[in-house]
Amino acid sequence: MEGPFTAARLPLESQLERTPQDASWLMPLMLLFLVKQLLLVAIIGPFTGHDEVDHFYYIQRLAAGEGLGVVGEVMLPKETKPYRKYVADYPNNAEVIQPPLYHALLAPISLLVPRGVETDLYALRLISVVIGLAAVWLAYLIAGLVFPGAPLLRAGVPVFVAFQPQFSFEAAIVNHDILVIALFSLVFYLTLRGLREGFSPRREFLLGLVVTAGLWTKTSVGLVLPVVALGVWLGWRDRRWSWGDRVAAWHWLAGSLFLTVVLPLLLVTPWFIRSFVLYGDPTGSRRLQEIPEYGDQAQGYWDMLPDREFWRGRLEDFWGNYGWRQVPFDPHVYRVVWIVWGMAAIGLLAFLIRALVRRRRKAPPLLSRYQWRAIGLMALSVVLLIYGVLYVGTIQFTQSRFAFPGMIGFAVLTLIGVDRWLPERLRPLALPLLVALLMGLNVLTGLRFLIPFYYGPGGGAAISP
Amino acid sequence: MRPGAVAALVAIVAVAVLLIGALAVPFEVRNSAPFGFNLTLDAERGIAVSGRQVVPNYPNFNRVDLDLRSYTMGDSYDLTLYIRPDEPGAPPPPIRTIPLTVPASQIFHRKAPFASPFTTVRFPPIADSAGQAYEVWVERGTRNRDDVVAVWSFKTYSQVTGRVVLGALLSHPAGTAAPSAVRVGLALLLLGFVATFGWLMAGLTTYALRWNRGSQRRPASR
Repeated sequence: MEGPFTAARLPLESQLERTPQDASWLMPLMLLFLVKQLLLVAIIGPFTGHDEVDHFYYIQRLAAGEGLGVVGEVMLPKETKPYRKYVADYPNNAEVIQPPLYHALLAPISLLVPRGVETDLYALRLISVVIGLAAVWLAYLIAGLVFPGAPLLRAGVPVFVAFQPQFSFEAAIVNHDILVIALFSLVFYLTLRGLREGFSPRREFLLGLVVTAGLWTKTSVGLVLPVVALGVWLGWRDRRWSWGDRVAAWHWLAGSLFLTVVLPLLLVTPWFIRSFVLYGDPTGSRRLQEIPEYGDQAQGYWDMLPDREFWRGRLEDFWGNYGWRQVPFDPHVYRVVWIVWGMAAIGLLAFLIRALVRRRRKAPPLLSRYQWRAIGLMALSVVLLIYGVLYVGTIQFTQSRFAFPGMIGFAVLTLIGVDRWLPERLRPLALPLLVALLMGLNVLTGLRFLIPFYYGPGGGAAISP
Repeated sequence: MRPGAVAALVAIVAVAVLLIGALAVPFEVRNSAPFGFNLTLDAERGIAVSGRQVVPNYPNFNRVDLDLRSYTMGDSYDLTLYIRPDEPGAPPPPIRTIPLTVPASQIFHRKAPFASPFTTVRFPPIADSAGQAYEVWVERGTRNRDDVVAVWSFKTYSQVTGRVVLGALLSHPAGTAAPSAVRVGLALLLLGFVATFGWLMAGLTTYALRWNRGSQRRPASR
C-alpha cells in the first residue's frame, strides 16, 4: 500500500527483461575482461601506472600503522628512485593528500601478502581488476535498467566500458581512481533505480553511504552530488508532490536531500577540516599547485576552453596514454578512434534533433520519460566531470582520467550515437562488430605500442628499470 | 542456418582473423622510448641537433618518423636520412642513405593542433637490429644548405609479427619472482584470451540473431 512514507514502485521492468539470454554474452564478456586485465597486470611494468608508486606506498604506510602523513613530510623510500619519472613530486609522496579509504581498505590485504614489494604490488593490482569487474557489471545493470529493449545499448554499454583502453589501464594498476569509478557508477545506478522505483528512506540512506565512501576515496566524487540531488528531486516530484499535504511533501524532500547529499558532506567534513588546517583549503589543491612542473602548467578556464591543443591532449588521454603518459598511441591511431567517436557524436546530435522535432510535431516520443531523465542525468554527470578536468587544469597539469568516473555515461551517449546510424534491424547485429573493433584496437595497440615499450629481444623497457 | 551454427561460424572466423592478424601478419611496432619518441637534444650544449643514437629493441628496423621543423617557407626541402652502426673507433659508412623531398608546408614549425608532426621514412629492414646501437641523422641537401631545418625528435619502428612481440613478453616477463611460472601463466592467459573472445563473439551473435527474429519483446518506444 502506498503512503507518504512508502516508496511508490514501478514494475521492475529491468529485472523482467533480464532474460537468461543475457548470460550468453555477459559471462564470456566478464571472463574476457578478467583475462584481459590479468594480462595487463602482467604486461604493465611494475610501478609504471600513474601515481602508482605514491598510492602503493600510501597503502604500505597505513599497513605499517604510520598514520596518514602530510605532503612534504612523507618521503618515498630510496628503492623507488628508479621509478622517479613516474612520480609527480619525487621524493615526496603527494598522494597522501588524498582521502584514505582506498588505501585503508587495501592495507590489510597488503599485510596478507607474504613476499616482497613486487609481489605485494601485483597482489594489489588484482584488487583493481576485481573493482574493474564490478564497474563493468554496473555498466550492464545501468544499461539494462534504462534501455531494456535496445540490444545495442544493453550489451554495447558494458562492452564499451570493458574494452575502453584507459579504463582497462585504470583497472590494472594500483590507484584509487578505479574505486572512484566503481563508486561513482554505483551512486549512479542507485539514483537511477530510485528514479524508476522510488526513493525509500532506506535507499536514500544507502545512496548517502555510497556517496560518503566515494568522498572518502577522492573528493572529486563531490561532482556527483548535483546529479544525486537532481535525481532525488525528480523522484520526489513524481511521487510526493502530488500529495495533498504539501508541508509533508517538502519535509520529505528535505529529508531525502539530507540523507543523500548533506549527510555525506557532514561525514567527510573531518577530512576537509584536516586538509584545511594542513594545506589551507579543504581539498589541498593549493599544495598540489606547488608541485614543480605540474603547478606551472595551470591555466585559466578561458585559456583551456578555446585551446584546440588542450582538447587534443585530453582526447589522447581519454583513449590511449599508458604508463604515466609514456606510452601514447601514434597520431593516426588516435585519428581513427576520433573519427569513429566523432561519427557517434554526430549520431547523438541527430538523435536529439529528431527527438525535438517529434516533440514539436506531437509525434510519439523516441524514448520514455524515464529514459530521457536517465540520459539527462548521465549527460549532466559527464559535463560536471569534464568541468572537474578543467578545474584541475586551473591548479596543475590536468588529464582526462578525472572524467573516467562517468565512463558509463560516455558509453551510453556514444552508443546512442552509433545506434542512430544503423537501421533498426541491423542494430543487434552491430554488437559483434563493436566487439571486433574494440578488440582490434586493444590488440593492435597492445602489440604495437604497449608490449614493445616494456619488452623486446633487444631489451625494451627504455625507462623502466 | 540456425543461430547456433551462425554463431559458431562467426566465432571461428573471428578467432582465425585474430590469430592470423596477431601472429602471422607483419606490422610495424614502435621501439621503446619515453613518450614514444627520442628527443634530439644535446643536453650538454643545450641545443637541438640533427640526429642521435638509437637502440631498436626489435629486429627488422625499417622505419623512422621524423619530427622535422622548418623555419623558412619554401616549396620543398631536400634532405637525406643516414643510418649507420654506432661503433667505437672510426665511424663506419652509412648502411642506409635515404634521400627525401618533403613539402615545406608539411614540416613548417607551426603545426595545426590535430596535425601529426611526424614525417614517415621507410627503408629496407635492417635484419639484426635488436639491441644494436645506430646513429641516425638528417642532413640538408645543397639546395637548402642555408635554410634552418631542425629535427625535434624521432620515433623508430621495426617490422615484425606479433609472434616476436609476444615471444619477447614470454621470454622476459616482468617481475623477479618465478619467471617460469609467470611464463606458463601468461601463455595460459593468452590462450584464454583468444578462447573467450571466440565465446563472446558466438554469444553476442546468438543474442543478436534471436533478438532480430523477434524472440524478445521490443519496447514500443523504440
